[in-house]
Amino acid sequence: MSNVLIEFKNIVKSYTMGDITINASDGVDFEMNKGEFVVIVGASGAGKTTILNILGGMDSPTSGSIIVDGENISRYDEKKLTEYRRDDIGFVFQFYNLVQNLTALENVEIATQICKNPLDAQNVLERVGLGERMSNFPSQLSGGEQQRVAIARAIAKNPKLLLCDEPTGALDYKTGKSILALLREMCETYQMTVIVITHNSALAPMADRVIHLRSGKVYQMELNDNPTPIENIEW
Amino acid sequence: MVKRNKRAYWKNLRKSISTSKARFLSIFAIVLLGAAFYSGLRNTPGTMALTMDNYLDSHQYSDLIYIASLGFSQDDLDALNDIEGIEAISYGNQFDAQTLIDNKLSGVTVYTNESYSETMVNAPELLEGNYPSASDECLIDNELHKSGLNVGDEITLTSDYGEKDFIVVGIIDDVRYVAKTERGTNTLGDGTNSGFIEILTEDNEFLAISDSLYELRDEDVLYNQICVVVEGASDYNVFDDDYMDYIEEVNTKIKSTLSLRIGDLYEELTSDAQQQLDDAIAEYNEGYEEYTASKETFDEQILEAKIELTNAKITLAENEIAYLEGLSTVSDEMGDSIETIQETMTELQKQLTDLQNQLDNYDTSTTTSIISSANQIIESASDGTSIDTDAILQQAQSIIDQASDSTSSIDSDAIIEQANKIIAAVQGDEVDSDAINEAANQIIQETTTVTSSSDINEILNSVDEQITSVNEMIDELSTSMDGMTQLIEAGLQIQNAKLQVENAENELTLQELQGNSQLEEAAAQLEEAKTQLDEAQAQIDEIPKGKVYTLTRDENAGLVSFDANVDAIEAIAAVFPLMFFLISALVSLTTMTRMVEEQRSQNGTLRALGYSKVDVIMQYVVYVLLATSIACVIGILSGNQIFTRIIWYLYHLMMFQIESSIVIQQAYIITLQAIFISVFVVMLATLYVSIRELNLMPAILMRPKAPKLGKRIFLEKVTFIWKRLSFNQKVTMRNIFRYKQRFFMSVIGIAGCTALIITGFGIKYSVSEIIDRQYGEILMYDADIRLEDDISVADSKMYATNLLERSEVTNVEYVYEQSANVLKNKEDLYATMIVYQSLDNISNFVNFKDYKTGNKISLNDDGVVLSQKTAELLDVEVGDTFDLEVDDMTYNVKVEAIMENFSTNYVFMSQTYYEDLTSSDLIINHGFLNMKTTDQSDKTSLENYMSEHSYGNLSYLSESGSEFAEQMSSLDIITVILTACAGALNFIVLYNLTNINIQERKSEIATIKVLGFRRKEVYDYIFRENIILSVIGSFLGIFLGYILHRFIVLTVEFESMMFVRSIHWTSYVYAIAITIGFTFLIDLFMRRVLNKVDMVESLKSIE
Repeated sequence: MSNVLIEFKNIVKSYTMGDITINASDGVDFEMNKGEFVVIVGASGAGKTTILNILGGMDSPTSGSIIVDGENISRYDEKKLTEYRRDDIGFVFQFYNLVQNLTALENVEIATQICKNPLDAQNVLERVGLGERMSNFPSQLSGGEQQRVAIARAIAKNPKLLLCDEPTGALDYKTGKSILALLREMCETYQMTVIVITHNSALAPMADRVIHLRSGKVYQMELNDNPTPIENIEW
Repeated sequence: MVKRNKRAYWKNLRKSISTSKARFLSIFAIVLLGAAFYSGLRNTPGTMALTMDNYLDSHQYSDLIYIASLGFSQDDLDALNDIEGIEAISYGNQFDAQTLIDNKLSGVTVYTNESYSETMVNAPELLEGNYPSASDECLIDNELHKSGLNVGDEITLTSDYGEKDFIVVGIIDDVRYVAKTERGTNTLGDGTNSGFIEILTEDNEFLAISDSLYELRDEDVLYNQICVVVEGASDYNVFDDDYMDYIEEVNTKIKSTLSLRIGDLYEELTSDAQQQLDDAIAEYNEGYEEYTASKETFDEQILEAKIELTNAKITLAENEIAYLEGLSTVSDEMGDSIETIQETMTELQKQLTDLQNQLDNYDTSTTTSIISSANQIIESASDGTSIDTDAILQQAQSIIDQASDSTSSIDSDAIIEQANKIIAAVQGDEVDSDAINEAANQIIQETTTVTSSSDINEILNSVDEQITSVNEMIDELSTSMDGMTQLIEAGLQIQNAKLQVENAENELTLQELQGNSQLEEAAAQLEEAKTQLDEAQAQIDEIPKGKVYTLTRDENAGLVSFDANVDAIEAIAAVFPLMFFLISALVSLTTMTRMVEEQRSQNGTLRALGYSKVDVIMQYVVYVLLATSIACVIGILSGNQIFTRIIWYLYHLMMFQIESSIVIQQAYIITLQAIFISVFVVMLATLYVSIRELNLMPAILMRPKAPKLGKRIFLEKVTFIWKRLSFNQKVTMRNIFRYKQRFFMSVIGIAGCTALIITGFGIKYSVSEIIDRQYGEILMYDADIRLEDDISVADSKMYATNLLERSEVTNVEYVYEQSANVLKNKEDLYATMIVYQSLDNISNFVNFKDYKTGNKISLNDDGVVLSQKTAELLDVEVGDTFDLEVDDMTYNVKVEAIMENFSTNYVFMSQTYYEDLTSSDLIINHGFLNMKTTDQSDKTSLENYMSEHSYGNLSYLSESGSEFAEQMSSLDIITVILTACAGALNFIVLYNLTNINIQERKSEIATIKVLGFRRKEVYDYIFRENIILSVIGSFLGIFLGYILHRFIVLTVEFESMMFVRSIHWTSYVYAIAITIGFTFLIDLFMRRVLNKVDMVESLKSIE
């Protein structure tokens, strides 16, 4: 059986601005396997966000096809995309995007209550190390703790794919590292495919698969049979 | 700072507007609506007054109208020429007439004018046809046209003084009749007036003025009406107090001139007539005196004659008595005399016989022998001791023998007896000589006596004497016979006298009768003369004092009604739009606050770039200025056009027939208020927020504001509720209470709008419900009877009995209805007093329901039942007293009960109470009637019956009800506008609040979308809050609406009218349904906005 979870085939995404058409993605091809920890690296303007949007079901490509777990989602309508996001994707934002008005637990629950097959929210929060702070509001938590809540929220949905957009972007170095470690751990604990999108190429060694983007194309893709633990990576 | 930078700054501003179009537009719209509504409604009363004033001015409305009961002569008119301040004057006649319209005899008021033109005083607005040019042409009221009269129709006008045919040549509106319904009353027919008709004065005077008035005033030309346009009055608004003060000056001058002239006229008219009358009275008095004198003389004469006659009668009677007495005496005397004579005669004969006998038997021997024997006895006895007893016995025997044989007149028996005694005395044992002596002497004496009387001469003498006496008696008898004859003569005379007296008496009676009848005739003549004189006096008294009535704006029913309407709108416009406007200001303020907060980091950037605080603040100031001032100006201008025009149009359509263009008032004070509320208040709030924000260091500003702390809300402590809430509900609750400011703003805004809608519906209910309650529940009679003349209670009972026999009638109660003033402290109200006869029956016509408890009031004779509004205005409670002024008399009356009542001030009392109060008998002039059915056929037959018997005219309650409804429809207009605008405001407010809610939570929305919330789940997530806010707001609005409605209703209420103060539950339901309905509608509408929220937002940092 094929272990391939995601397959990007010649994805083009163009934006028209006045007379000019810009191809944010200009024929992206890649694939990744289930359970892999993938890092997509690219500088600003390389087309990371486009890939993220398309992969996250927030946008559809202009052309090309994306096969996720055997389903071609590139032609999904909005409704199907919503279901896709709902059931298959867990999202970790750079700015955590927690609902300020909900406690840590409730922020997880807001995600779990809409899924078919969620994990136990409290359990997940304990797993991410916030067993003691479940009833705190985001404003009472540090940035790292908030991101942990965000990760817990993403994982608790029990998605096929954990999509992380610059998860350490708003965090200090140390906290960022611990978050990445957590993600790695989650990937292994829950056998979940994790994609981290970042501009920071230093993170590449910790990934099972690294995809380098440049000017809307996959510049390079490498597999890492022995990923370096995040603790050993310095940047 | 370089200018180029500034350009970027302005560009940023433009961009901030264009990127937040929804916000800008919502502020714009909300301020626009608020300002428009405020300015429009606040200016409406002024505009209405101004338009009406303009209409009146343009048609030369007569500020003053004078009506004289004696008419005005040309001289009177000329006298006005000298008075300053008169711009124009017109004169003509005004009279009541009747004419057939649509086969119904209808009352009309007729005006005459010298001529018709567009520039005349009270110029009629010609809607169709032409002005009259001939004396038999007329102009008709547009309302009459609507009743079926057309140009070219021929009508007959019948007034008190004559009738004439006219041809309709034009249809008009008249400036004196601005209202469609108010046509006043008519002195003819049933008192109702259908419209007015205008004709030329010439050749039509006879319809207006009676011949007698011409005669009285000795004038050929008379007018009864003068219309005056006061110079400079057009500079004043006719509804202002200043106007009244201004025209009052001129009025005083004109009135004093006219009154003076009329006063003089009265003197003149009455003095002539009075002189004549005085002469007549003098003559009468003379005649009366003469009559009295002759009556006295006559009476005296008759009396004298009567006395004479009586005297004669007495004399006669006396004579008669004397006669009768004489008659009896004479007959007695005669009887006696005859008897005496007979007796005498018998005596005489006897004596004569005796005499003869004596003469025949005369014998002296016997007597001598008896005497000698007796003497011998005496001698024998006197011898002492030896008495010869035998001799004595012998002698005694001889006496006895002689005496027994004697034929002489001696008493033989006596003598024998004495002789026997002697014998006895001798034969005894002892001889009693004394007894023998005595007896012997006795015998001698006896014998001697006879001897002396038997003297013959003596006897003859005696006979002579007796004959003389008989002769005398016979003479006497003949005398008596003479008296008898005289008496018979006297008797005859008396008979004659009696006849004479009778004749005299008869004659006297005849004379008396004749005299009396003559006197009576004279008296009757005098009486007649007196009546004539009284009549003449009454006529003089009736010569009216020549009253001059002044009619101003306040006497013009149309203008008064218009003014009342304007006041009602003013009262509503005082509160409603302000509340409206405040809500809109509140909402735009919330919006601006949000905007400043949202743009915090941008502002920080600007500050960091070196822009001064003022620059940054200015950006908001400009934003607010642009949004609010433009909206405000457009709102003020358009609102003032649109709202005033709509209201005016509706009023014009429904109530006032004014062919005049609207003159819109733009009161600067209202404009300033609108600008202040919409621009300055929002501006100040914006400045406050932005200054507060910008006082922070730029670096802090650039960082996102520490998100508002998530907090546990109060509800979480109420665990038994909180536990039951679903997760989503919990989230919603938290969100609702998270932003307190937004929560309160939303709730207040929604509550306010709901309150406005409730008020709108509420006023409509309050007004329209009056009709149902007043004419359906409180007044329960089918028809009101108006009697032409006052009648007695007894008559009314007869009327009632007869009416009750009719098949159409089920019940009837005759009452006394009279206008009265009720007074308490300084309050002085006009009221209708109704005095009913029966405590039981009146309740079949009027529902006396206690104003507080709603229970039936039990009527009694101890006081009055007062209507609720009246009691409120007088500030009296049950048991209090107040003054009731009827017919210039004031009575202190006690309030026994206060009844629920909406229209008119009523004072109900029983006949007993009334009669006790006024010490006079109740009269009847009105009645209430209930019918079996109110079919037209029943109505007609009953009306005919009643008019045939003068039982009064009927007016039906249903008609009064619909008339009232028509009058009240004006308030309906306003409430429709209010409700519609409140709905619009509600919509905008909800939209704006929803928009704010979405805008400030875009990131959150994007996040949940990314989390995979389905569309519906996203909608729910956001809109559930809206719905809950709406529900909370609209329920709070119930209380606010209740208060606002009550306040407005109490302000708008007229003196004689009470609105239904409560709000029907449907009003609340409608308002809540509208609010919540709008919320759903907006939610539906805002889905698009939610759908448009880009998930990419979630990737951005929170700005």
